Amino acid sequence: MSDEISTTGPPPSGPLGGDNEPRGNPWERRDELGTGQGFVEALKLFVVSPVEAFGQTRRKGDYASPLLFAIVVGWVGVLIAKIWETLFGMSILSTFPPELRDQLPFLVGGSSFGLVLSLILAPVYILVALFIWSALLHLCLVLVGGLKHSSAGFEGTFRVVSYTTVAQLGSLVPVLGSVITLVWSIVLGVIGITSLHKSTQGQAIAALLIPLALCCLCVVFFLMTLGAGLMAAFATQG
Amino acid sequence: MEGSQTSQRHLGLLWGAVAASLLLLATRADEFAQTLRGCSFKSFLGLPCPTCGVTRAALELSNLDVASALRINPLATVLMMVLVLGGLVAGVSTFAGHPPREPRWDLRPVERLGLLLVIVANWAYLVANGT
Repeated sequence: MSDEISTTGPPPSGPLGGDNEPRGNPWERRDELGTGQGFVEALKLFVVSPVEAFGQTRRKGDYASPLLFAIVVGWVGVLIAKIWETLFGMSILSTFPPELRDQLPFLVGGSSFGLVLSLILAPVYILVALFIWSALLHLCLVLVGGLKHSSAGFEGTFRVVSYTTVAQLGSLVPVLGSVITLVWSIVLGVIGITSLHKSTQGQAIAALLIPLALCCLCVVFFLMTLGAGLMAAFATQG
Repeated sequence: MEGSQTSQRHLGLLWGAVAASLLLLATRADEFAQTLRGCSFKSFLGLPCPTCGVTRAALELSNLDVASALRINPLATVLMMVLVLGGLVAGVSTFAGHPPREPRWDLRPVERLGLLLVIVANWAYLVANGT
């Protein structure tokens, strides 16, 4: 009796729904899981098993789910970054020679009013940044021919960028947080693009690195200039 | 089919919201620009990077000086205008029941080469212009 296969009850829960369209990651299934549980489960899945998470993510359907997820995660990331900035910025700055402190105002957090204002405006900035970054990345994917086998279109890229905001959790680590976030974002981006657009890893890496290389070059040159300035300042003090 | 229509509606509304946000943020563009650092690529190598002048072009656009923006970085100016004006059109047409449709993204190699040439030509202009 116990070996009988039940023909009633819910269908088996596999990663794919009808027409080979994934059923959705836990956040996209929040109607059945509940909003809080869906969010936490999705967050855990993207951190612990991003391949599985992007495998479950829908290719198309709506922009609202990924957008809402990214705004919540991104807002928390901004909050954490501001806290570290306030806690560590001043102490790091105090180790610099006095003549350099005035040139590095971005190391310290602003006023408490500025902090509150930036937290209020953060969702707007996140919305704009998500859309523009998605558009740039999509353009780069077009350039490298990474959308040849894709049926997800711009929405697929938007979903990748939105769920990649999970990497903002890297800012929990003080000082090195931004580096961890950057590397984690690239890894998640490659996984997401190969999963949602069916691009090769090479195409995904190239598309991600074209805009990042431009930014990184600027950052590298800025750090070199800063390092040279610091060495010169310390040398004159010594 | 229903999901596709929802996606198109969402895209129109999202693009419209981004355009409206950018117009609002443009009123504070001068203050925002003061928090940005100059291009380290240019200060180190003496040559503009492919994205040099985007901030200045955006500032000119926020003052509705399209000609100056085009002189600083033509490609970035065109893209920013497409982003904002296209977003406003997309938002309004979505409300009117005609959401935007996505173009074909899988370009042929010759089309991709053309796109790349436009970017390189714009960079050459920046170098020649000393942007």
